[in-house]
Amino acid sequence: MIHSIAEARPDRRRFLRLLGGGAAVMAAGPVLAACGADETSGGGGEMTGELEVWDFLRAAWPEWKQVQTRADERFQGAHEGATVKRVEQPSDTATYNQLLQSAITSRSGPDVLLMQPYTAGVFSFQSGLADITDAVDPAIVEAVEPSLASAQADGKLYGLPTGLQANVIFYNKEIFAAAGLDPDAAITTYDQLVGAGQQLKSAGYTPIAGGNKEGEINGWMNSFLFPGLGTYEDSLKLASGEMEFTDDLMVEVVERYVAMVSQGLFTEGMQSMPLSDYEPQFRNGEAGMILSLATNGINLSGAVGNDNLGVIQAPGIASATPHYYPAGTALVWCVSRFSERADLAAEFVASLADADTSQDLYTTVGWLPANTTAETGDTDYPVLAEMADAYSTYEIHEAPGTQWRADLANAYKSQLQLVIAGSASAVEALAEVQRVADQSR
Amino acid sequence: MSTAVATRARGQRLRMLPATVMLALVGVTTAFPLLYALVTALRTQSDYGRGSLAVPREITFQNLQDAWQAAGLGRLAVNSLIVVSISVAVTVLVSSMAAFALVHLGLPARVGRFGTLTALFLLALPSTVLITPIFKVTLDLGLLNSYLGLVLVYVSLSSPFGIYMMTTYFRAVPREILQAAEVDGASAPRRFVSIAIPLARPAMATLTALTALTLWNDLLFSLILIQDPQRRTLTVGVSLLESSFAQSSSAVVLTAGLLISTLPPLVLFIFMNRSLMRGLVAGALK
Amino acid sequence: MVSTHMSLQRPAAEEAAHSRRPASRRRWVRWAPAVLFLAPAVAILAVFRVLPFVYAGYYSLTEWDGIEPPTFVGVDNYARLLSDPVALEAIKNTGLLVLTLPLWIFLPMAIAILVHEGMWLGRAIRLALVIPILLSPAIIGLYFSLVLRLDGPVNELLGAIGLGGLATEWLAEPHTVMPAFLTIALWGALGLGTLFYGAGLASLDDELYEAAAIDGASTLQRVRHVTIPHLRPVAVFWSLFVLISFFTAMFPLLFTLTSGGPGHRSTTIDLYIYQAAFENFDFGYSAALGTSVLLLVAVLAVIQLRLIARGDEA
Repeated sequence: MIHSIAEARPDRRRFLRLLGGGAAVMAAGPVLAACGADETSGGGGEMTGELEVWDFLRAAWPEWKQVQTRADERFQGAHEGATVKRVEQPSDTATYNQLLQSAITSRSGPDVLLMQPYTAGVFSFQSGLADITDAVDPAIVEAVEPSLASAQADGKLYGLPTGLQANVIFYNKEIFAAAGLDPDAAITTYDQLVGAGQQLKSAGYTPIAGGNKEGEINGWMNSFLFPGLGTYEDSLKLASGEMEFTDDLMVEVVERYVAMVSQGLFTEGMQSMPLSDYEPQFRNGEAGMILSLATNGINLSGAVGNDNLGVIQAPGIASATPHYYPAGTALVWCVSRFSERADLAAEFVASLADADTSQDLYTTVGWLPANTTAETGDTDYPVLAEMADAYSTYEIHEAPGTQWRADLANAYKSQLQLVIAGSASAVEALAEVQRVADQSR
Repeated sequence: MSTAVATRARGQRLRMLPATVMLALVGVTTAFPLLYALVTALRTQSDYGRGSLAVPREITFQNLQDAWQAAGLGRLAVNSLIVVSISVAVTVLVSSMAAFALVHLGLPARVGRFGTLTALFLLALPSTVLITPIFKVTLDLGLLNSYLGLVLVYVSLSSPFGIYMMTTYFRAVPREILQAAEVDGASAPRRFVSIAIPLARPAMATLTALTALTLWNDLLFSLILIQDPQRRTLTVGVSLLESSFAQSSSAVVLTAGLLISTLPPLVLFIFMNRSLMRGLVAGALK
Repeated sequence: MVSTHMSLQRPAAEEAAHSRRPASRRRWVRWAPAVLFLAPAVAILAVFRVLPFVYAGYYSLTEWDGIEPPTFVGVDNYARLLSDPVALEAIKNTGLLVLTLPLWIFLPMAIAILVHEGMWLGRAIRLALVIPILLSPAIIGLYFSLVLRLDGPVNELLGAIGLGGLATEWLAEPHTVMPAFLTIALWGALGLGTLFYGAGLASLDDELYEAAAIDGASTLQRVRHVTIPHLRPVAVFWSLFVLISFFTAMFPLLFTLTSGGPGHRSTTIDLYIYQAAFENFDFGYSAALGTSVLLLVAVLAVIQLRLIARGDEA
């Protein structure tokens, strides 16, 4: 279905392995000797014993920990002789990647891993992950079907998604009212968004809080603005290389975003502010809106009041035909290919994606369930209900950036910094991204 | 401090006044991040949200307590202490021995120079590229998850600098002293222990402090080589306080954790400041 | 090493050898202590530093995602390096740092001399300067991102002294980011340099000073003819250390300050090596970058040592 790079890679890898695998083992000696040894491991194994689970959210997020602990207990109750050992890992992505890299290269490490979806995680480590297609209950796979693209490539299933993710703008209703905006009128187009921003600005507020030192906001805004201009088919063409980054469509996406920046609709000084540091402006009422992630809804509700928080979905999704609601998967649970208890691990992963755990995540942590059989009715958080409603109304597809190769996504983020700084045009920046795309890997 | 300093005129100090003022200002800027970390660690999250650089309105010790408990920093600090002190001791000993051999044990000058250059070369190896191979080697030796493995990796990381630094200082030790001892029949270990070490003690103190600092702050190797949560080091514990998903909810707690992990090196430096400086006492290295 | 050991253990056999090859035996006996003293360091470094480097060198000749067995691709990665504008920009940025080396050498030297000459507050200043190296780069990075932001104290100060027009996002503007980073890095290293020079000065014999004073030398003359020559070995040591740091140790601070942006305007070569491996998952290329950098550093270090040697002769 998806003609993405992610799909193309495994084929090529297998081919290269045939060509070079043997020579590599001989040349690199002991480093690779271990690699040749258990090429077929993964799958099967005992159904009892301890599962080591790497979890990078547990340490700093008490609510997440509660949900996961309850899930572990349920699993242990249902599987006699099986225990779950969670190991807390750092949530910093680059640090976690180094850890994964070492563990997977040496064919050691945990049984179960929490991973970023798409090329940011799963697809970049997929040769170290087990294909769990045959090891999990098909009913679970069916229940998470709309989000499977985050972990499925080449007919293999590398994990199960935990929740849905999307880039949304949250807003403070009191501030909207104070600036003379109707807090309950839905913003559905780009022009309305810009208009609201300008009105907030003239009322003395920061329109949209953002911290873009890492360039993350550049990627987020691409996900947010693309659907109003391009279709899902377009995003697939972009990922597969059929459409160039310098296409008018992408130029328009970039120019819309840059226009918002140059009109002063984001935090002044956003470019040198770390992503971790921009929320306070929204929490303390300096900013009327904040560009954020759907999974951050409860967190921000708590800050400005449950009924005071509103949500703006990507503009243009209501009018786009066919509907293109740019969402993705929050995180994915995977089984290591080198696990000695791969089947047990797969069952555990399935239990983390089942309706019970998904529902618990929804009510406790505020994550919209990837599992379509989970109930999303009752919630104290209106924004959650609104987002859940949108998910069920529109056709959900992956946001465009999620399918890009890791180096492409990074190039896009950093090139846009130059556009914002005024030292490159949108076309120049996109041409540079295209150069990276053309670069042989 | 000494007669020469004592007799130096007040006038000279006055002439240095412009430079003094400038450097004092620089000194204020370098001391400020510590103050910033301290203030941030002692304020509430909402107070921090008011403005990260603003003067705090309320002071709390809750963050320090939270950081300490959430990451179990007490036990991790003990782990760090064990690993780092052993690694530092081995590094200083092994590097001093090697440097002594390169300079004062009768190797041709050519060989000594080659040794020093090799140490420099090893120092210049980019760790990033070596992380995965080092992990592999440690695993193949069965040293994963053991402090012995981590200590050996630490020694390999810090001894190139140690050797390089110690050869510089040993070169300043007059050859004649050691040759006289050799003529008197003192063995190589004897000359090392009773002449070289006392003379190089100040340099060794500097090396100790710097190595301790570098290794204490290491996150990557201890995270990767020690995967058993019970045996992790302090920096790993602190890194867990950072939460990328629930953004900014823990900025003050994270800073508290970072501050806690900074304290031991800080204390070490304040403690050693005198000996580091007085260290190379006049006459030691004529 | 093994043969050395045996020669010490078996004097009889040694004597037999002695009669045949006296010169070589004497050399062995003479070098035995040196070899034994070097052995622990050599053993540890061979296993945990040289061997991994050999592996990395091999990876640099492969295409490798870090997981599957690497595929041998010859020098492709090196060829790619030469046509990769990002790599060239990173080398240029690191080159900019290298050009500032004299500042790194002489500023800490000057501070150390001032302290040694009995400057008021000298010791307190020296201690204050060391603080940045004690703090984690995460704290330093966060601190400067606050201090240098648009509404931060630095820009406010500029406004207060009538230079408000210069106020900018220092870490986000393509033309200010490298100077800002350079200043912060140098600022952070002053203390360490002063520490080394200070240790060197502490061994300076006061008698030399007194002799100079009796000769009627002025302070400046004394500093020039006694103090600075005395610091020469420390300066050599420190400058090589700094040079190597430029190529290997910039990324922890850079990572928290700018992440290499905007674009790649502040990406140094060591940051790029890191990003290639752990953000772009391109390990073979990362290894090729690392190996090339090592060769570059080696060449630069040799040039620097030559320059120093020439200075010695002059």
